[in-house]
Amino acid sequence: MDRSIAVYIFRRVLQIPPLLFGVSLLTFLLFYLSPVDPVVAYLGLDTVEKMPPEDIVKVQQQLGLDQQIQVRYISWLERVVQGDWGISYVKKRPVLDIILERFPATLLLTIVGYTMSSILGIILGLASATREGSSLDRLLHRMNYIIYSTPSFLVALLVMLIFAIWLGWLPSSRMISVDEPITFWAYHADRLKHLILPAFVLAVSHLAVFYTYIRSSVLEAMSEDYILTARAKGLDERTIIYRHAFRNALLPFVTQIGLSIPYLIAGSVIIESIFAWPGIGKLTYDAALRADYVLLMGMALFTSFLVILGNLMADVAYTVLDPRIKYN
Amino acid sequence: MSAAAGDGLRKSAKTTAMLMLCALMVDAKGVTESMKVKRLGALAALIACILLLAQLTLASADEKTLNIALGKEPDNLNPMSGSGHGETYDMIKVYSGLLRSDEKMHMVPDLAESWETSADGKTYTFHLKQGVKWHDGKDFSAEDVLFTYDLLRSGDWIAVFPTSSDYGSIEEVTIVDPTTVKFTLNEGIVSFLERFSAAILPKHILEGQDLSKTDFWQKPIGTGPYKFDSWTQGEKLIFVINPEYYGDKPKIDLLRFVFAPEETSRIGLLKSGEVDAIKIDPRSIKTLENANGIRVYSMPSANWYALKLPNNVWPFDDKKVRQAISCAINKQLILDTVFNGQGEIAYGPYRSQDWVYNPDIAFPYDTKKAELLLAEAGFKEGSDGVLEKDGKKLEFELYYPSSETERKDIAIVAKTDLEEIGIKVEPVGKSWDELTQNFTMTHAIVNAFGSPFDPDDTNFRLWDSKFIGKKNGNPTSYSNSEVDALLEAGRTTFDQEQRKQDYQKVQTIIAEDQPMVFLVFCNYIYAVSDKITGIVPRNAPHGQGINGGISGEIWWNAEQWQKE
Repeated sequence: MDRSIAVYIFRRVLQIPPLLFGVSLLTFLLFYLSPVDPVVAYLGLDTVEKMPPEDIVKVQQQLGLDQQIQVRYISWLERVVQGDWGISYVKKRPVLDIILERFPATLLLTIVGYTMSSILGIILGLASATREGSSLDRLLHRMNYIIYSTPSFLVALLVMLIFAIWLGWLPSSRMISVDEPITFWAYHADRLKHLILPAFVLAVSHLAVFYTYIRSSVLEAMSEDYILTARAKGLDERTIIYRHAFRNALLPFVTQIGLSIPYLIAGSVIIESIFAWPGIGKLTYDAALRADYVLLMGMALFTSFLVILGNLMADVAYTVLDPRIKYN
Repeated sequence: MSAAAGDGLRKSAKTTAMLMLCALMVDAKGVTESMKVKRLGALAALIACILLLAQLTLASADEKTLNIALGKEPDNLNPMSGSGHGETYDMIKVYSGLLRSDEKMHMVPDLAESWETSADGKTYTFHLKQGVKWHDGKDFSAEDVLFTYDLLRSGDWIAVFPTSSDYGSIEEVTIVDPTTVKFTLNEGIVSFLERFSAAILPKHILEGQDLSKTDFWQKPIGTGPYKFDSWTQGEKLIFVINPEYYGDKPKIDLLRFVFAPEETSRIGLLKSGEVDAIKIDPRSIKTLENANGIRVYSMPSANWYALKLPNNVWPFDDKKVRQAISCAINKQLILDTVFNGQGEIAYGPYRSQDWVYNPDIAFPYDTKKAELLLAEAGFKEGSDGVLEKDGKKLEFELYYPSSETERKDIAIVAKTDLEEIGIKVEPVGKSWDELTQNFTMTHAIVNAFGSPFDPDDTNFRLWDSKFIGKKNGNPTSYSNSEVDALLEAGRTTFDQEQRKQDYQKVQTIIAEDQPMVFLVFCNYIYAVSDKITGIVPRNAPHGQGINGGISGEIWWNAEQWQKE
């Protein structure tokens, strides 16, 4: 069995380069087809409005935007294959440096947020499923609808107003105080304090999905024959729920987590913007607004690589959770 | 926000917290007693942790640090990445130019000790300050001036310095002696003086570099009052005092910009005392004007809003129609509702702060007069109440960029007011690209322009008929030979009194012709800690702050600010 997993992983790894090629080609085409005028996005409308048309043509030439699309794509591809991701023409810095600098902030926020979300989702989902039809189940179910239909920017602004601006308990935004504490403990306590609100909002924004998944898959498992068998054997209810129903219910949940990986890596534009969190989501958004295609292409390549890797890991996790699954 | 409402919300927050606790208790029901105790214990521990964290005090702020929160982050620190003087009148503090703008927008010496202009305005001679050093310790010299202006006028780096062609009229730059530089131009335009505020760049670092790729723009070296210190992307940008600065010693040692795109979080940072100054929306004044330790500043700007009407398209080709529209719109209402009263009514392109401003061009809001003007123009009321002439109804679509809420609000007020006198208006939101590419010359658009600089700036291109049909000028196709002559005289006459008369006459004619329906000048609003003194608001240009707002805002003279 170990060998078959190794072969499977090897085959999947071989698929990565063509996938990345496809993603980069699509991104490049999308960018090319978008109605945004890259010169206006780059220089700003105020500036372009004052420029004589012949100057605008010169800017296009200097940015290399006058070349044919296939020429631009191939020269980009050549450089990437050689490990040169290019220089952002808005920020005038190497693209890879920019991405790697911003990525840890996103990863920290999303890992904490998703962990909170899945733990809460499991607890509440189990509580709900094991008491199906009870007043608690109904209450959770209704609250779930409310949470699911509340946009996260609203939750973000609400918690910021309440806990930061009116009560003053927590910092309103940023990853660390403007005047950074110097000692080790004070520094990390400060970081933690700044993490609470954005992680909470992120957790809430995904809680509804996780809760629903756990609740319905536990309920489904509870109606399976093997649960009946377990009950007939005289096992106590807790063992039935936790050892049998819950373990089987985790499988679709892992799929859901696997599907969430793109969000995990790409970051949340809204939460990062509102909480001034210096992550990768805000970076992508700004790059798109400024039509900074070198940076956008880099981001697409980087995130899709990690997404492919993440999905592979989720697939491997299945075999651990369910020994029946075999990949050929 | 009133205190009562704040209390109410605090109460409801408490109630919510109680409810959440109850929910958790209910959840615990039906589980064994020991589990319940464990859960409650864990919950208590969590709450204790949060409270403990909240108690931790922050390191006390350094007295001489100025913290400013910006909504945007600069792309890079290229001092000339934008449009003309709007970019250089408030230089990124790292750099300096031969001249700079003072609080009245007049040009005063900076790297130059003094300068002379020839009578025809074609020769400028600058005498440089001696002993000025670059931040890396090298001597500043006339070679750097020559290097910088050669870069600009060559046009080789137009993607880096988009206004390069503004310097195209420089024919020759010569170093007369080590401290004297002479510029020879092929035309004598008064406002060219403002071009000498361009940032001087270090030849010893940038010579031979690819300026479109150099990391110099990320960690620049200049001759200005502050040195670049560090930049954590997405978080903060720090400048420190330059002890070798040739000018007045800055009173602030460390200048720190932090980035927070959302206004609520900027207000949070200001209220908690973490930052000293922010820019706010005019509608947020109420939240902050009574807050402890915070002062709100309303800074005038030369930015005016107008209905841009295509003067060569029916019905706007009739001056009386334009005049009627102008009389029928309640400008005070726009100022009060859209801009929270922060600004000034506009009758022409110059604001009262401007030295060429003509106070005699004002006219009242008068719907009767508007109706009279339209009757004179031959319009009669149709069966549906809409005015018409020769079977054509007086109706039009009013476009606005859909991303700009204040322009949308203006369009709605205009619609309401104009329908009062029988003109049918349909406000339509469009994207910027659509507006600039397809509709500029042919449709009525809610636009904004304005310049606090030399009266020639912006206005020459807006009103001179030789720019009709050019992408970058005269968007209304306005043509008046008298205005053309006055604008030409104004930009080539060096006698300031004569210029003032010329531009005042321009205002009189434009107010009469109403090529655009001028509405209001807006103000920009800032909230600053009351520990800060030395703030000098000055007339701001059109457009939002430059370089993400490091420049072009109320902190233009931050080096002169003091912190208690």
